[in-house]
Amino acid sequence: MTGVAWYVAGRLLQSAVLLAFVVTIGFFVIRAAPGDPVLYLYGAQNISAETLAALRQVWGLDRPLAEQYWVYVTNLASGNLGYSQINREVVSAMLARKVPNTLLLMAPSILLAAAGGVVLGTTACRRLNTRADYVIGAVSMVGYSTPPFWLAILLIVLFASTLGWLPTQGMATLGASSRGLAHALDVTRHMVLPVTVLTWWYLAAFTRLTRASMLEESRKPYLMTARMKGLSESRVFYGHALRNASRPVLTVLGLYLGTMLAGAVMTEVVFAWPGMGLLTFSAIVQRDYPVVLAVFIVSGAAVVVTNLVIDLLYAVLDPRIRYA
Amino acid sequence: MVSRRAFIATTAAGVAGAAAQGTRASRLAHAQEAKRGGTLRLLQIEPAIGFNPALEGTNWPETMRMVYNGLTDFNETGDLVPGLARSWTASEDADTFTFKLAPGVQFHDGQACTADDVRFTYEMIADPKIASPLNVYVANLKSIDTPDKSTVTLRFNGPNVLMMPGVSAMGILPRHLWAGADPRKSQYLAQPVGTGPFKLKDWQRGDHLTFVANRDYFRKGRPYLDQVIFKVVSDAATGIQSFRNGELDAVLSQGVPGGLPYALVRQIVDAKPPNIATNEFVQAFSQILWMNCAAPPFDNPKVRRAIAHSINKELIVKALLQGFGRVQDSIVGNFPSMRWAHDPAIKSDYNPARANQLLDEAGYPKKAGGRFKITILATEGFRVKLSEALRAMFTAVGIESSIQSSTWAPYIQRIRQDRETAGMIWTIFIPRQVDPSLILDYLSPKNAKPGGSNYSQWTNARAGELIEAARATGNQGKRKGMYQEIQKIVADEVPVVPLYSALGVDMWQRYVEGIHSIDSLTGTLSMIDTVSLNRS
Repeated sequence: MTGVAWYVAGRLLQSAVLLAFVVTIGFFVIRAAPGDPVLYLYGAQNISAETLAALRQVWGLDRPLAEQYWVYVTNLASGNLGYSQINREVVSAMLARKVPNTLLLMAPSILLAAAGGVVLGTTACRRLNTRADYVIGAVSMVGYSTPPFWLAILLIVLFASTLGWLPTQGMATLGASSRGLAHALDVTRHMVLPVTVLTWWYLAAFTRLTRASMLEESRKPYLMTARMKGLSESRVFYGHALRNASRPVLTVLGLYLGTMLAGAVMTEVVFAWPGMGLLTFSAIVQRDYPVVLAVFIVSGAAVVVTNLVIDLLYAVLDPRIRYA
Repeated sequence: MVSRRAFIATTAAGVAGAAAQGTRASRLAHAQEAKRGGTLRLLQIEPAIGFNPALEGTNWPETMRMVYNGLTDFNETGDLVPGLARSWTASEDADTFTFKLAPGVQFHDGQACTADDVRFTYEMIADPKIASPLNVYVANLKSIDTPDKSTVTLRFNGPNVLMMPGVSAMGILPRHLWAGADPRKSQYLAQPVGTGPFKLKDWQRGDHLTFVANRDYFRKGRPYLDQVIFKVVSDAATGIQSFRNGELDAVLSQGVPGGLPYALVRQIVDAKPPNIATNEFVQAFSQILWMNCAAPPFDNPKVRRAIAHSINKELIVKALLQGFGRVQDSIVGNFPSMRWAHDPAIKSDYNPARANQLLDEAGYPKKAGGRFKITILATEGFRVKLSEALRAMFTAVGIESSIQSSTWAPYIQRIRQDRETAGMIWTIFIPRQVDPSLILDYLSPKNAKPGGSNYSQWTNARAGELIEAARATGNQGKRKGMYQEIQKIVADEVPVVPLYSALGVDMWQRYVEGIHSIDSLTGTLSMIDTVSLNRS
């Protein structure tokens, strides 16, 4: 095996241990929260204490916690994420449905924001302390401090209710039986508002980060060297400074991409977007234990894997870093 | 044996024959005019379910009603009418019920629906291993006989006053698909096969459910609609906005997540938009204030009476509910299904002076820092507002209180299971009120133990006896006397304070016809098979 392969294998092993911790801590934390799914569902109904107890028995909730943990872990080891008694469905099927929806919402938002943020941040740095810099700074400050759910409601009122250009909620027009391109266009129309809200929020983060990072690089002596070599200003700026400044940006991009599987809870709620955020939220409220744990595992694994990929990319960006 | 009509007249809220004739005529007229076809799009709460009424109880009845039928149905006035059973009889002492099934009823897969399916369904509900939340309706089931393919006889050990109120909710399952397997893991939970007016075509959980018309429905010529879509929206304001935009055809109270946003709905109702019809109706559930009667200070009836006198229910309805509620005076409310048992002599008395006097007498004099301190439990959202109003009313009579808010799961765990509620007050709805016995279960001593529904842990021996006795007779005259006595005891002892019954507000675009806002065990969509779209 090559050095990189060893490095990756070691990191994966580390990740497995990390995920085992996530599962164990997640299991006991969610079980320590008061309330159980049987009471959640039937607590206000006129049913006897005996019926409630019998339901807990049917659902296996009356077993000692350690035993339930062992059952869960052995199932997990054989690739079984469990069964949601509340939703009466296999958990992996629930996730398989939600993950693509969330990716469809989050990936374009984060990538658009990253691209836009790098452009704006670089511009701000190149035109340091000019009007353009101030405008970009002010806009990203506002963007970063705008609560996404509030912006979402404003956009719905303006573009959906008042102007009627875009739908208020959902992922596709109800009852529409469109296929292929027409369906893709329909979904795109539904994506416009939620993607705008999320991009707006992430954009501010990327802009501010890029500007700060570029500013730091632009003060370093190697740029002087580059200029003395006679390189053009744009070559100095984009070829050298930006390349080095992009490492922290890449780190943050990795973090966002890693956590994006957890979804954007408030945005999904307001736009009724059927994604992971909504699923996580309702699973926690309903004490739907296997679903909560599955979300932990899937988003945990996503963070671990993206971080690994980002670490490998560092080596591409920075020749001083070698994994061997 | 008594005839069906006589049975309805004696045990359920009866209708005069003339009224029944009138509604039948109007329904006929509607049937002649009703346009066929089209898709109805409704706002809905995510139904976190599998399609099996025996497992889910009365949660999400609207969703169940689309694909299943019970032996009986409700009409637009909330009375029982034939469902899968075309007729039925009940014995004088309400311990034997015989149903004759309508001929030619088919499940969605083409198999005939017979007495065997009915027996199978009722056996599942009564099976202790299933632990069905509906088992309260058939608690003392003795035997089920099926002398032929279209006759079912249920026998009970003693009277069962809940059989007829509950029967509509017990959707009949196809035995050939459910027998012999664990119903909690059945594939038919997600791909239901019933006899109902619609078949489930597509279920995108967390997003929408699509139902298509069952063209072999046993009520010939119905349903009128081609499709019904339940659109799941988790945010009430977004859902209602979507309806105003014309992306949804109707918003029914039962489908609004987190309950009606009263201010927004008041705005629409008052604005009377020309394209939108709104209908207010009394819902069969009431908001009840509970307190822990097993520990100080609420173990003292004088303190509990003082609490009742300190609450201005009218103000709560007016200010918090924007008028969408009715003050409730007695624990047995004034709903159509229970009017016969309701005691109109019991009246709320908002009287802070009397409350102060009672608290003085109870040995809690007025002093700086309050007579005593209590905690008001709440869940996020409306209950916090309600609790703030209560807190102000308690302060006015010298009781200090703080509000502790959580989500529903820990809230109900503390109140129902852990009973860690000494010195605390909270509110919980009593839902789906179809018979007084179901309400009084919430005050029965036998339910005072942890996990039981007597959240207040009030144990009054006389009330306990009466609650059991009133359930053990089919004679409505006798039951009425007992319920009136119980209501007086409850009004005097105040283990709970009934606050208000909620008003539902259903809204639909004017081209939707045939929606009847009735709150029943089968939900607002009891009559979905008569709904049509008339876009001119």
